[in-house]
Amino acid sequence: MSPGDALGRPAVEPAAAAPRNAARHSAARAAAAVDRVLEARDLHLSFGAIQALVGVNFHVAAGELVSIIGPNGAGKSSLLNCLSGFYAPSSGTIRFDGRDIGRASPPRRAAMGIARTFQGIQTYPSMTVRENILCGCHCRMRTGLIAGALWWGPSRREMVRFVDEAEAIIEFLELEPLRHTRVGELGYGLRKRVDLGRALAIDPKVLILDEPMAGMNADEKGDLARYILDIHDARGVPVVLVEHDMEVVMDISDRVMVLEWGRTIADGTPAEVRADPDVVRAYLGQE
Amino acid sequence: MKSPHGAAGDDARDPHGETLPRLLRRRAAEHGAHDFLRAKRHGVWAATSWAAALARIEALARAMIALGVQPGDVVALVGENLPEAYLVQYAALCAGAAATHLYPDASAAELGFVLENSAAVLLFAEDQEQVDKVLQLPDALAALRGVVYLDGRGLWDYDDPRLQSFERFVGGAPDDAAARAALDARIAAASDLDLAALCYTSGTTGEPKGVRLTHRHLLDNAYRLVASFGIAPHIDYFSYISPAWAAEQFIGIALGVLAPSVVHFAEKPETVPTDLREISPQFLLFTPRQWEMIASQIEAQMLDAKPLRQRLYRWAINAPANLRWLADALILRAIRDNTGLARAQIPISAGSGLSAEIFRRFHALGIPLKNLYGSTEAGLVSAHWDGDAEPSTLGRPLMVAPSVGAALELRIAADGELLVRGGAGFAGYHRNAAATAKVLDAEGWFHTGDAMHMLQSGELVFLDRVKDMRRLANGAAFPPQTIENHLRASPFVRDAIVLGDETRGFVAALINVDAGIFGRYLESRNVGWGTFAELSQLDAVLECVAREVAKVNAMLPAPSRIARFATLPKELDADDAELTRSRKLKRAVIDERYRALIDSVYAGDERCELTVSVIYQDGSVGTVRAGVRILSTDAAAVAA
Repeated sequence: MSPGDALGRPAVEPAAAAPRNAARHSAARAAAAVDRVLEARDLHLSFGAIQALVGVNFHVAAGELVSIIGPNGAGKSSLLNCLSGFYAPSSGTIRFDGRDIGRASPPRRAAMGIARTFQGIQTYPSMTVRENILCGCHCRMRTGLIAGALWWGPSRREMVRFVDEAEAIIEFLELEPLRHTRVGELGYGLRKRVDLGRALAIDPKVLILDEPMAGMNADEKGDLARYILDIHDARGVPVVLVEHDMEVVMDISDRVMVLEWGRTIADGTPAEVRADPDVVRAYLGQE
Repeated sequence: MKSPHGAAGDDARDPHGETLPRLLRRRAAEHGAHDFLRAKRHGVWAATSWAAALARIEALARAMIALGVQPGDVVALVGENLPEAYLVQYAALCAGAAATHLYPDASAAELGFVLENSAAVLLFAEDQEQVDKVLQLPDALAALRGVVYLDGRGLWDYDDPRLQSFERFVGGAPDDAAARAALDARIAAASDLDLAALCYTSGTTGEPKGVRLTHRHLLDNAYRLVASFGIAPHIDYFSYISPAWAAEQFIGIALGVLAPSVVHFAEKPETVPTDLREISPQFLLFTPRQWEMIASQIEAQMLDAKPLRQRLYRWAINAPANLRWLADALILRAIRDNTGLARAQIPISAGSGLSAEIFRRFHALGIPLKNLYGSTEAGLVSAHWDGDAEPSTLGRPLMVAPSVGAALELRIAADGELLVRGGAGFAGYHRNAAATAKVLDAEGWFHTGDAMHMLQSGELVFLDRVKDMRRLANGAAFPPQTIENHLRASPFVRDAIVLGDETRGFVAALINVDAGIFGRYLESRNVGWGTFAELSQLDAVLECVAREVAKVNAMLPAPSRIARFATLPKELDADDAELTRSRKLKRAVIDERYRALIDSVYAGDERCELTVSVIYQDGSVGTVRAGVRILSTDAAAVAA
């Protein structure tokens, strides 16, 4: 169906997506053994005398939704910052799609397909929803500044293609009524959704979400959890989620990794992690 | 008893016994490259031409036949107004089947009832939400040959073998000569008396009833609009009301083919205001509630405007006739453009009554709003299609297609009920002959259940549902709530209580005048007053109220007219338990507190010394003593 057809709807066939629920965990695990999209081995990171990460191993496999949990200061954000290139670990390797990316800059990693959202609001308030999402396409643009300024052939065609992609994301995130609204006028939950949309615009091969639900009410959390699952199911994008809301984490994750004082204390299915004595001690304290 | 007649139309687009599929093919041959359906995809309006639409419809129809859909079967759809809903219905008709639509907010139980009652063989469900409903219904599911969804989101791990996506369903359509010949044979064999749609009535009493709408019925009703309003081909129509409602079947599905029109779809229910502005349709139908929302949206925007603009707006909507052109050029055109009604030639309100005030406000804005009256069973009966659009009337009978049958004939029965016959007529309720017999008599009159009055001009005025009419001692029926609503529509009347029952000989009214409006009215006439009680009994006030009552009487049949009235010496007040907190009348309390006044009204007195206790806001109790004057109207002589 041509894009100009009024009847063209996004057709997502069930076969294209990973299975869910009961079947999901085992399938994801089977995949894990063969296809690690992003992997960190024996990461160490310290700030002066403080050891933020102590020999942490981490991986996310194709089609997997992994959550990282832990008390404040456990090293969750430090791990994400190492993965996305904002921190350089003092030792250890990070591999993406089988390649060592330890020396790649954050923009380089974004261009490779590692998308990340940050804690708090990082959208551009004076730009519209669609413009914010289009910003995510920037790192994929092939035509340069001069071609863009002259607005000639390839640059123009590229823009038309990206607008269409941005619109597909707008439809996916149900932002149609707000596409031309300035993000500064939106509420917190919607801005986070736009933030997620911008991350999707880089056409990610892995999506890293740092506390996307902090400060949201229950409805907003439910909505966002739904979108994260849909991204994961419909697009098959592996997701790395750092989140404090245990209910959400246990509900949507394939696998949960628990950090404490820079060390991994548990790594398994939500049920396994919930029953792990070390996790119970870390979260509930010890007598 | 009156029996005015409608007329036969003279427009050349008479369906002449054609079915919708045959007309569809003809239109596609005539207008192949012209736009038929327009919808917004990825933020851009995209059109489907007649040729492309027909190709898709026929592919869908072949897929339906391949799945075993037989002539006479029913295909069900549940979801929002989407181009696909139109295509599916046209395809079902091509396959010899009929369609029944459900509102997207139908419950699983309602869906189950309709699937069972219509014996639907195939369901098109918009999305996961709708699919989930049918998956809860094992019995209904067992009777279906398939469930086709339009939006696969969230359905990734559903493994019911009967589920398939719309794209896969269309893609699997056989395209060989045999399949095409089978479709041609079905389209050729169909009769215009075949069922085309089942519309389920809301069922406020008992279970919903499926109204059978034939091809002839749909096309006749579309023709009534084409001929009466003189609808031009390729008029821009905005599809917003659900095709589950018969009105959209006539105005959208059938008119789309007959006129033909260019049918536009909103991107989402939430984007309707933006979409409306972008489309600026020439023809659209909203319910009174939706018109009220547009009116309040305009008001809200004006409240946000700068003071000068607000004053210009107030001036513009009240501009004298000789300055209308200036008001239009400066203000009104911009407002019409902003609301997407700049090109609205035929904006229609239908479904229930729209308040006269809102109706007039749209006319003041230069938007020629028109009332349309009809029922699912009888089709479209009357509308403001010729002459002035008077807010309190429903216009004159529409013109029917000459090939279909006699012109519309209307009759007001003794109890005020409107009876209709003519045109394509009512084909009966689906599998419910008993219910059909209750509303369709041996002479072919359909009993609408609506009490109506016909003005000398031939225009219909809605009184009330027949079951809500009250009776006088002489047996004459009158519509108390409608009279009260008409009275309240006057700016001078804040509230009104209509009196009269089986023990009384005529209709009377107690009126609570609006002190704020009368304050300004009297000031401009240099009349002084002290309390509300004094104001309410002033000559100037009573004369003005008498004029308002006379206006209302002019809208009513003789037995329903107000013969006597009095203005209350105190305002009706929720603190005195006369009103609910939402300002609804508490009749029993009012009857009790104003007993003396009511008795005087019916005793023929010209004055009543009334004592009413009042509770002040601080809780203290006082009394109002006042001499209340009681006036008779022209109707009093008739009643006597």
